[in-house]
Amino acid sequence: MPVQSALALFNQLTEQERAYLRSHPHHIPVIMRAREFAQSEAKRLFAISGHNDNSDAFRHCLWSAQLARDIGITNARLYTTAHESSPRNPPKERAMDLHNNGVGLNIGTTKQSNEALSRRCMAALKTGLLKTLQVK
Amino acid sequence: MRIFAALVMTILCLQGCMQRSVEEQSRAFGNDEFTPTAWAAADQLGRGRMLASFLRQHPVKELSADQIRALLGPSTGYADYDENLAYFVGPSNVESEYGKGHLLIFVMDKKTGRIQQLRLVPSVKE
Repeated sequence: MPVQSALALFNQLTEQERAYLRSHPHHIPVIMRAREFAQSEAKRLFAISGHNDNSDAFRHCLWSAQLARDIGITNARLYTTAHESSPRNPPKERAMDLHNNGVGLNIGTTKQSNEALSRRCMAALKTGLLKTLQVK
Repeated sequence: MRIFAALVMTILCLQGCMQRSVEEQSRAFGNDEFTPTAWAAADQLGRGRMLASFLRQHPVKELSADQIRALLGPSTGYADYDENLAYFVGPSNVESEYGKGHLLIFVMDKKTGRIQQLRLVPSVKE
């Protein structure tokens, strides 16, 4: 990731994310790697890393699943919830993201490869376990 | 340690100085007149051509997210946080971590609700 992008991301962290990363600095590379894989998979499978749509639901699921596997479900829940903690985050969108994170966290406890977690999140989407805000 | 920190800061400053502003980059897309109606009817390419005009008419750092949304409509992309507004503009023959095309990102200040930073990812090459 270019330095500029990493810096731009760092400047956007919520207060709760900063607090988490101050106490768990060794999780930064894990969180960044999980973000990058979730985004690239969303882009590969949906052609876009979108907003409030299927790609958004899938991306949250896969990010959370990887984190649950790599830093444990408790830490993963703490961090993914911190990511949604801005008071400016629209409530419906926060609820959607937290729901999809929750599905992903449970999937991540199976401790499978990135590719297997991706398949399981896609299956969760297809079976209606993940939520979107799109009118169907 | 101090030398290392100074070196990192110097590199970051140089990168920042070398990066052209979004206003400058947007001129490469064209110079069609921006109106909210024309923007709403335009495709990604057409929106790119209106970007320079939009930025001339509206000093974005003085606007709130609601005002941006009133002018540009709902986001067509996503950039890391739901509160950021993001729109794909310009040709789709470029790609970034966010998808095909340039993503225009209005980074919102989480405390004030004002626009903190305007980004175009990937940036437009000279």
